[in-house]
Amino acid sequence: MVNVTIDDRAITVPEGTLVIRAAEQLGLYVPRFCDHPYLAPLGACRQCLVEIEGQRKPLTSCTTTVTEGMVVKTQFTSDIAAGAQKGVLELLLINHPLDCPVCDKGGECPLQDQVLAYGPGGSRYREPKRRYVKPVPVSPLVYLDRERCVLCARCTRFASEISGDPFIELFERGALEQVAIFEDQPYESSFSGNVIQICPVGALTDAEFRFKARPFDMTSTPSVCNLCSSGCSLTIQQRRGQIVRVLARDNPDVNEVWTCDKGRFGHAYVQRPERVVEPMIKKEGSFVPVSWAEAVRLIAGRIQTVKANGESAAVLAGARLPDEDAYAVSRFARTILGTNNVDHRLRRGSAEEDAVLPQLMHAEPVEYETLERAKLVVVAGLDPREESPILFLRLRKAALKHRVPIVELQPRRTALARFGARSIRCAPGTEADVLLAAATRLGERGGVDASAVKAHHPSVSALLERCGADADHVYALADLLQRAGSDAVFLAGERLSTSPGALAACWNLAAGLGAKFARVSRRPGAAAAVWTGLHPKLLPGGRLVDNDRERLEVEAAWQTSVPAQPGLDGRSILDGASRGAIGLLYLVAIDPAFDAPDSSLGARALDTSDFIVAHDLLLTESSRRADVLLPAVAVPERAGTFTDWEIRPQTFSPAVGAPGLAEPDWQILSMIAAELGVAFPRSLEDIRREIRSLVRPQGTRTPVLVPDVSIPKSTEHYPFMLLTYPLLLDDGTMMLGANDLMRTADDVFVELNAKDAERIGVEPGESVRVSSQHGAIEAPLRVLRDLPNGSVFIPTNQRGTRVQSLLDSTDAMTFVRVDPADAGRRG
Amino acid sequence: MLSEFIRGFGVTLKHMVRKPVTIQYPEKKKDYAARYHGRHQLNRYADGIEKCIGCELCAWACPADAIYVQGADNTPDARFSPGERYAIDYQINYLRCIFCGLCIEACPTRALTMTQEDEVTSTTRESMIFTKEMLLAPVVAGVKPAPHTDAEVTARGEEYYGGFAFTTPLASAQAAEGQAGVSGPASLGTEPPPAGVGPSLPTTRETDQAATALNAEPAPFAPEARSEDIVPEEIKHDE
Repeated sequence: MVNVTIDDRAITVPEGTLVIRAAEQLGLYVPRFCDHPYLAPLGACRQCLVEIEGQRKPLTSCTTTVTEGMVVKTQFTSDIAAGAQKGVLELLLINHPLDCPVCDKGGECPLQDQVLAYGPGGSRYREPKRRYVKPVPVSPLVYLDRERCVLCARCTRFASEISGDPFIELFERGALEQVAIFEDQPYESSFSGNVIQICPVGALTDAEFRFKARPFDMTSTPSVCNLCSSGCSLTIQQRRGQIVRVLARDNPDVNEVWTCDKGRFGHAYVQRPERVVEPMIKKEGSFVPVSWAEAVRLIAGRIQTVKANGESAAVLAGARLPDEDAYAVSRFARTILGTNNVDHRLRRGSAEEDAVLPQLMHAEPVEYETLERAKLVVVAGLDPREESPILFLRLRKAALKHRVPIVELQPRRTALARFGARSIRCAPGTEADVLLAAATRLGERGGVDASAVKAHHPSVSALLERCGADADHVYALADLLQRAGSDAVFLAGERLSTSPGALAACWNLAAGLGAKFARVSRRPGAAAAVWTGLHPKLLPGGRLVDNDRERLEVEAAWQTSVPAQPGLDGRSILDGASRGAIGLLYLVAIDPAFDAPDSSLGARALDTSDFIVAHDLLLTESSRRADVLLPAVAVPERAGTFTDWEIRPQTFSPAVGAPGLAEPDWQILSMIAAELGVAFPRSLEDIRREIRSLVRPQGTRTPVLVPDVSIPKSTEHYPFMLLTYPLLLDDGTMMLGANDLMRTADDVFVELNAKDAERIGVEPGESVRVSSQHGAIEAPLRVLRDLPNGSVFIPTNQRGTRVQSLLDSTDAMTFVRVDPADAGRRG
Repeated sequence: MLSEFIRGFGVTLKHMVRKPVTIQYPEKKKDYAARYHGRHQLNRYADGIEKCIGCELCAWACPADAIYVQGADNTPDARFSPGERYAIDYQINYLRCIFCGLCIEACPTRALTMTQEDEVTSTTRESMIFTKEMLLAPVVAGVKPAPHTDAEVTARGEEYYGGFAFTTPLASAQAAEGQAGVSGPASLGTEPPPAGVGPSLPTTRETDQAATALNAEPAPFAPEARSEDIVPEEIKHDE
């Protein structure tokens, strides 16, 4: 600890503290532009000059660290410091245009504020100001105005230090120094919006927000992002009931002060005219608006008929529901529909997933901060940059700042490799083999209890041969795991659940080491969906349906009986519906007709269902097919809670009003329950109280059985294994209206390694035709150096290309053939 | 008693022959003081371009929340005001307005001023909300109302580029021609670089030459322009 005196006040701060931070602790604000708490000190703007006793000249407080006995005088007590700051402001204003009335930053501009507080009243400079062309679009989302730039280098430091997309740089020197992008390269980054927010002047402005409102004319509401499971804290700003801007809110535990472009620019769907705004009933093939009373009466009547006839009902609920809604849907299915046919997945569940999921919910949680302190992070079946961008930023910080080794295990190399993550590549579907090989190797060396591996499997060499991974890499992973022991962290993507045995192998390895384990899904409500029991075998709190003691706990809380038979998973519900075996299909915020990982199953299931009720924001492929369509409110229009991948619950309150007659999903269910005269929570507070009462304490982790799976072999006709997952900016329904954002989305592509591309005889950029037994798509080829042989990657839902048309969800793996596009047409 | 009677009628008789104070409103109207707070007007420059830049400072200053402004981008094909921004919508609700004039003080371009017009009455609430069309000063004969194209503006020898602009980068780049080329990253340019100034040049420095030319012709935002506020004839009251 170091003792310093600032403005005659003594303070003791840790060694290495910057003078500007020590002053902050005393409540003394030294004006600054380039200093930012999450960026490295630079001292570029010279605004924070303070007088330090014993120094000939004023020093920049943002780069000077405290020393024992230092005596600092800020502008409040020192004329030298005040004069220096005033001089710097006068110099900054030599070329800064005084167009504050038309500048989007005007009203929230540090330069404006600090000139008013500390600056001179006028300028001695009469010469014309430096002029540049403006505004220059550096990307479809960001405009650059170089006249206003004060060269603080916050944006360029963000690009190099935080996001690692160094497309924005300082060029030239002296009076002509300017922020610019490289020739021929637009500023392509999933995090570009952050440079707008940290710019201390109006040099980088928001293309979407441009001239929409003045900062002082908006109402801000703290909120939580609902576009992925990262759980970013946001501020939603509205003017006259319209959302005009979304900012990242400082939350050191989660997103620090950043958010991705999707979270910042992707909320246009909320206030689109396409929103469903009133309850509708299908009469003779078209929707007719009705009152809530009529719609609720119809649904209640149908529920009674279905139950009286002994037909089965089923509920599919999207993993984008807030916690309270997910809980309400789970309880509604069990107590009102009297069924366990409820799922948040559209695919088939597996025994290993069923065994791991309930344990996840009462294991010790992994937090963002845990990653920085870990000795090793293993990322499996997850592409953080595309699926959880803020997790990507935190992993980058952990790797670069805290030197945490990161190993990624997936068929396709991701952006993690850019900052030194070791990649272990394996054929799609063979992740389990790599993990088992590493576990066995570790077991041989006594690093892990061999019984924890709990699998019948061949030798290490056989495993390695099957997955095609580099043996050295797998052994290196085993070494790293042995060294890290319980300080290792496993981040398992939701995709790991679809790779046979992989989730179980990963879980067992973590349990054997005593290491931390977290499941990271793409969707914001996935953790809550499992936790609240949107699962055919799980009740709230991860309780098992077929465990009498656990079920009775839930029955006691609900004061009603719950069926003891596990229900159907998402895939089986759709299968049943397509056979006409489901009397009532209830869809909440889910679009099986479009999203089901199958070429036609979703649409078939909905077309043959007798009666479909759907809650939705927009008319989707599925809600179009509903018999009763109920308008739900969007996240910024309601109160609720989101539990992010860390299992951190964050509540939010409404930022804008809901359109028309839309209601929160839980309230719709509550109305139906009231019509039927069944007990059901009547308020958000009721639901929260019930959720709290059903939370379970942390328990011990037990290894689960890794199934012995034989991975199907490719055939001569379909030689490629297909890997597919959606990129960050895909054609999702929620991206409706976010046109500028979608202009930054990647084009559709088919990825092969160079050897395979050569074998087919296609050059990168040329169009290829990918076909399976179920369908075919065409897209330009890209070559990724280290994709495993015989693997092909296509983004799931990019620019109108639906990879679902190639899939059949009964298959563990999908095999495709890739041909030159013209040959495909000829053949 | 009688004398008081006569004195009383005397007052009456005196007033009967005096010039009356009453004006036959509405047939006759009187001029108000020069700074009378009447209905607002959105002024134009002499060439028909609007002075309002849609900055919303009037709305911010308004203590009665009577003003609504929505900004938008000027484009090369439709220039309403100098600089990047103009008011695509401008409304004053005269049921709320208290005629305090704070908006006039807030206006950075003297786009908003108050007229002598005091007859702000109506029979419906809707018609008491004055829209931009109602508030804009009419153009004088022979002048084209905004929007103009940038080509038209340039043809008149005027430059409305960049807010409080004195000159365009392009003009100053041409002035800088012959001097040492000042190169910048080419990808930033939105206008073609002038010939002979190196491979890449949207970025440049003001020169003395350009500055002199500018000082000769005051820009629209210079204070001198204030005297040119167009007050249309029909709003001035006759004697």
